[in-house]
Parts: sequence; C-alpha cells; structure tokens
Amino acid sequence: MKRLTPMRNTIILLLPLVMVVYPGLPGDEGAPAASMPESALDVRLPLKAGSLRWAVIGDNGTGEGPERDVAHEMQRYWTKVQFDFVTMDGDNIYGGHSPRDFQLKFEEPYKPLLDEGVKFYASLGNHDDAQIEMNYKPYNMGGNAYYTFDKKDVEFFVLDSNYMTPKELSWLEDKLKSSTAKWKIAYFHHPLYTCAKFHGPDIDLRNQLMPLFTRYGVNAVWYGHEHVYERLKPQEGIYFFLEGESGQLRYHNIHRSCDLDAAHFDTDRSFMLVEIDGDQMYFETISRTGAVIDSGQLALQAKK
Amino acid sequence: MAIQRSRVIGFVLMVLVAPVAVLAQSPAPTASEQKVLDGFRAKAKDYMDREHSLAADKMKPTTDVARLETQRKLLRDAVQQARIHAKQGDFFGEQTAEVFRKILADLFHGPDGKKIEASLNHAEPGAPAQFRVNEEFPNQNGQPIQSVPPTVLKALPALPKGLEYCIAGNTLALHDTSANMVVDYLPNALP
Repeated sequence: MKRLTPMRNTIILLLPLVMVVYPGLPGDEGAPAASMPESALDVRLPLKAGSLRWAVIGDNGTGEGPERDVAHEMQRYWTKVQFDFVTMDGDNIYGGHSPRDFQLKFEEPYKPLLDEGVKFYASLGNHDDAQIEMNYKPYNMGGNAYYTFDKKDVEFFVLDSNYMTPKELSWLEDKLKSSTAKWKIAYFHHPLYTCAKFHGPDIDLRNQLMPLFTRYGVNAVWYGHEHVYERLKPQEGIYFFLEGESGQLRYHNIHRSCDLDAAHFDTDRSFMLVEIDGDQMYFETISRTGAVIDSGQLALQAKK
Repeated sequence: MAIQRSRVIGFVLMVLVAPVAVLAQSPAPTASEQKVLDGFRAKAKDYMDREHSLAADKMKPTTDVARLETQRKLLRDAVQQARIHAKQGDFFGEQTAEVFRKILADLFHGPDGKKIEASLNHAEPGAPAQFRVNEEFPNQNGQPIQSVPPTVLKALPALPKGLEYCIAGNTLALHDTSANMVVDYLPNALP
C-alpha cells in the first residue's frame, strides 16, 4: 500500500537544539500554515469544459486554525478549479450552535467561497444540531435531515446516518429506483468501511445500505466520522472515500495492517476536489499545506 | 446421487430452520403486547398533534440562527407549560416498559445482537445519559449524540415526525426534536 506523506511532515532537525516538528498534531491550533505561492497550485483534475466539479469536506466545523487553513487552500484551488459546490460529510459545527458558532465555524472560514457563490450541501453528523442545521439556509438542506439534489449527470443522495429509520430506507430505495442519473453518489456521516481505529465501521448501517447501493447502482460513496482520509479499494464494485479531517484530525489513527485502503492520510487535515466528465471521475486530495496527497481517475462502472 | 441427497437435506433443513431464525430475529408481539404498542403509538401521535397546535410558527430555512433558536425555545416553553406535571413513565409506563425491554432483549440476544452492540460501541461512546423529563435535551453544548442502529429502529414502534428515540448507555429516551426536549425515558431499556 502506498504510504502518503506530505512534504511538511519531514522531521526537521535544528542544531544545537533538536526539535521535532509534526505539523497537524491534534491541538496544533496556532497560526495558519504558510501557504505555497499561487503558482504552486498542483491541479491534477483535467478541468474539461462543461464538466461537473465540486469539493468535499468532512468533520470540519471546529472554528480553529486547521479548519481555516483548509478553507484557505480550498479558496486558493477554487481560483483555478472553479468548483461549483461543496459537499459536507457531517460534523459541520462542533460544540455550541449559537449564531456566533456558525460565524466562527462556518461563515468566516468559508467566506471567500460563499462570496463567490459556491454552495454547500451538508449532511448531519453526530455532533450536529439537526433541527437548527437542517434549517440553516447556507447548508441547503431545505429543512430535511435527508434529501437529494441533481447536478448535470450526477444525482446526490444525502443521508442521515444518525437515525436511519425504515422510512428513510424506503425513501432511499424509491429515490434510487426512480433515478435516471448517469452517476449516483451517496454521502453521509458514519463509515461503512474503514481502517481507522477510533470508531471503526458501522456494520449495522452497512447491512442496511449496501443491498440498496448494489441493487440500484450507486457508483460512489463518501462519509466522515473518522478524522482521517481514506480511499478504499472498491467494495462490491462501489468507490468509497472517507474524508473526515477537514478540521479535526486523529493523528496516526489508521490500522497499518488493514488491507481495505487503496490510499490513506492521517498526519494532517485535508479536503478533496472531484470532477466528473462523462464516464470518468477524477479526484485529488489536498492537505492543508496545499500538497496533493492522493489523486486518480475512476471509470463509471458498467450497469449490472 | 450423494450431491442430490445432500441438497434435499439442505433444503429440508432450510425450510425447518428459516422460520425459527426469523422468529429469533423479530418475534411477533403477542396480542396483548400489540395492544400496549398501539397505545404507545397513539400517545405519541397525540403528543405531536398537541405540539403542532402549540407551535407559533414552523421553522423555515433561514440564515438567521438566532431566530431558529428563539423559535425552538418558544416551542419548548409552550410544551413544558402544557405538560407541567409530566414525569418519567408517562410514555414508558410499566406495561410499555416491559414490552420495550422484551423487544430490545430479543434483538440484542438474536442473530444481529453482536452487530448492533458493535455499532453502538463504535458510534459514540460517552453520549449524554442524564435525561430529565420535560427538560431540554442534554446536547446543549454540542455533546455528540449516539446514532440509533437501523435494526433497532426497525424493531421499535414507528414514531411520528418530530419524535425520535435516543440511546445513551442502556437508557432509551424519547426526544422531541422540534422543541429539543426529553419527553420520557426508559432506564435499563437495553439488556
């Protein structure tokens, strides 16, 4: 398995004093990391005319330095990638949910993107205040804990994995069955597959969702909850990503012996950029220092 | 020939065992248990109907978080006043408690039990456990909530929109999500 290490995680030795610096340690909430110059943007998406582009964040809403650093990098990459919207894997706001919390943990960090008209589509995590966030207009949930939205060839199915009732499962089945989208993408908070140590996969949720995902041809799934990044090997033909470190981080929290991952990163925060053009999906994952930690191209799966 | 015989035996075993397995997973409630569950459902519906009549206005998407907070607080105040004598056991009375505990015990001791326990243990250890009837739900400072495993939600009676089950430790609570309030809770609900 490819071990992903950003440039900034190099151990710096300073003589005569020996200092070991690990940027991205939990609690490292100091000044924003120095960004690379504008010209150093490492865009690996093809940026094809007419393609659909979006960003993915998860477990972001701390309001602290690392969240702001990631938001800053997102804004820098936006200048070149011009993504239309951002999907959120949940835990959008940690701690209190007062008006000031929404400012500190969402409105201020992402202000440059919001000002450019970039829309955010949230899913609910276990730290979120469902009733308030469902009705918080910038999250575009329309007052619902679960919902769908279409963008070009893609239909997004945004689920509430905190409280997956038979009613929600039935709603999902109806929506998937009637969807005519070329790409069907689901996202929610709790992981179905993961190599992360802290929570692990939600087997019960997996047992309920996977039969629907496979029966109705879901192509890709995103979730968070674990504060790491993982690109999993396809499971039952479906692409899985875990992006749960856009604000939070659990340093070195991935089981090294776990063989589910195609790539992973657990030493700093990150966000993702995704582009869909016809039958191809391109992605790149960027750390808060602007380094690309994973990238690739995935083909639309053949219909069963 | 041997293969055919083993297939026949396999089929007979499947026919004999399958219904037992289904029963072990979700035994149908008896007539008296069903009556208790119907009563619980009716009470839950009645609660929400009353709440709708108390709500000054419905939450609508807005950028004004303070307004959403105020709406929720006003609703909670109104509901609290309307049921000022509410106490633990109003919804989970003796008979209802017994049926709920039996449903959950069957589930946790059934074939899905280990997976459900694993889901609960993985989801969010340390979720709030101090419930007080008619008071604000104990998540005011953004304490994480425990997700409720889908298999548990399939086994328990469906609730009207606006009411949800919540698990913390081995307590099952009834959460009014619109008013963010504890309606009732059942200690030792989970085995």
